[in-house]
Amino acid sequence: MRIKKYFLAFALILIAIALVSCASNPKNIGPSASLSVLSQADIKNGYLGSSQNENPYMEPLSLVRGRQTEFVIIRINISISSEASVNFYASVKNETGENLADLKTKDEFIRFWQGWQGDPMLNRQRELNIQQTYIPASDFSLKPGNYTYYAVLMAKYPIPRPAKIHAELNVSGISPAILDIPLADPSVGRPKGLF
Amino acid sequence: MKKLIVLLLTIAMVGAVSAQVTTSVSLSGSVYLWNKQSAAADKATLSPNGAGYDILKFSATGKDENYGLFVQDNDLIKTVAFNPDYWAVWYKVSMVKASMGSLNGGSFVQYFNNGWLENYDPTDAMYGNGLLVETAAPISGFNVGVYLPLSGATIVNTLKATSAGFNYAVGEVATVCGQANLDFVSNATTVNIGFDYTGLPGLDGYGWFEYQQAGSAVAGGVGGQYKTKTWRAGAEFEGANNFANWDVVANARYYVTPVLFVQVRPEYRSTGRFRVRGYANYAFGNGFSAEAMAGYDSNPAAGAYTGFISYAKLGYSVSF
Repeated sequence: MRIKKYFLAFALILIAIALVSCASNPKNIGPSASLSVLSQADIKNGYLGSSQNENPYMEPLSLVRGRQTEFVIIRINISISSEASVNFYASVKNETGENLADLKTKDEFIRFWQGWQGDPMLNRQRELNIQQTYIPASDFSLKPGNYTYYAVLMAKYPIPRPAKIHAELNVSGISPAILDIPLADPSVGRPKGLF
Repeated sequence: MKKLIVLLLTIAMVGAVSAQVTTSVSLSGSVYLWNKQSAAADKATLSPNGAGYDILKFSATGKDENYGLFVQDNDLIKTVAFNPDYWAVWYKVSMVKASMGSLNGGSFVQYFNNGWLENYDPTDAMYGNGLLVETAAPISGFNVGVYLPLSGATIVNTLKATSAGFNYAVGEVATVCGQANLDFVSNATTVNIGFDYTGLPGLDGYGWFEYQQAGSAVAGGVGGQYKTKTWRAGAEFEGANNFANWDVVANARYYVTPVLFVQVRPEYRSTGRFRVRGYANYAFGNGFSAEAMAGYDSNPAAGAYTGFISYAKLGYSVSF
């Protein structure tokens, strides 16, 4: 009987959370979709802060080996007033069309960080931030609302230049957002030393 | 010790130049410069941050992420010796991943994401020498796993101590998980379920509930945090022994600059203990930080000071 009471309380918490999530979508939103590329400096000064233990978009640094991996970070902004399907694709290619970086899925990005560090509490915070901010999939659907996601293309540092970033965001009912820009020099937005 | 570091760095360097294997060597923990929280911790000299806080981990992963291994040593600095606490080799075949070694837990238990409370964690028996077989990737949102401990005296006893778990992604807004830790040898089976809600930007809500066959007791916890770029606020509650024992804590943090935050954390326990702590934390970058704490403890844990408490410590979370 007592167990039943506790289980009921637990279930009520779940239901309350579900209700909160249903009431969260603002109305009267102008539909829009946009893409932008963020530097490491943008990332450090952004929403997730400058702690490497929590911000998964800060490139990992090795005390001995220095910077091993280069991140190309794309921010995706979507505002929709009705349910829509979303398709996202991105690449970094050289002049001959060779692929220079891998677009990571959310699970792949989580696994990358799990292999990097051992402290489970630090990994949990970083993983949580990925869960909340990384683009869910290449194809997915969204309810009305404002959304900001991030996607990461990853390769061994430094990615050979010249290279071009290409990204496409297709949201049903909205004109596609297309990004075609050269990959900035590796020194742009990155500190020179380890700190 | 020096030989160990040289060995790990050599392995890391070999991995760095190898196109087939990705390696990582990381060390995290903290060292007190000053610690006035309890008589046991009262040391003016450098001391590590207690048991389990200094973690050295080496991992290697094949290029296609189909195989790998890891070795982890806790309390490296405290014991100044390399005695691996956990290690495992793992391999993926199609949709199945098998890990074997001295494992450090599965991923089917929901802990407190912020870890402000830690007296009553849900039971995770996927520890120690054993074999964990799980899905390599979600199947329709589901991951499942089965763990066989290899320490049973007989095959029958091993099977009687099997653990099995699942987690399921509810759209993009939440995950639910559950784990059964069988113990038919001692009649101490536990079953727990948990959730983690991340559906609203900046908000994280989580909880767990556990039934313990021994004593027919229940335990559980719930917590959450909301964060913006400059501040965070959250709370956690946990209870055990049919919630006869419980703790509750609140936490508020404000970022003065992107690298400096101040934080206050009041806490109350059903034993009557009240504690409030204020923190200032500065991140130097690349995994190094300094933290100072000052607060008040009404007492009553064994060895704890009553009255004013404080510490200063250096934290590190670095990779080689």
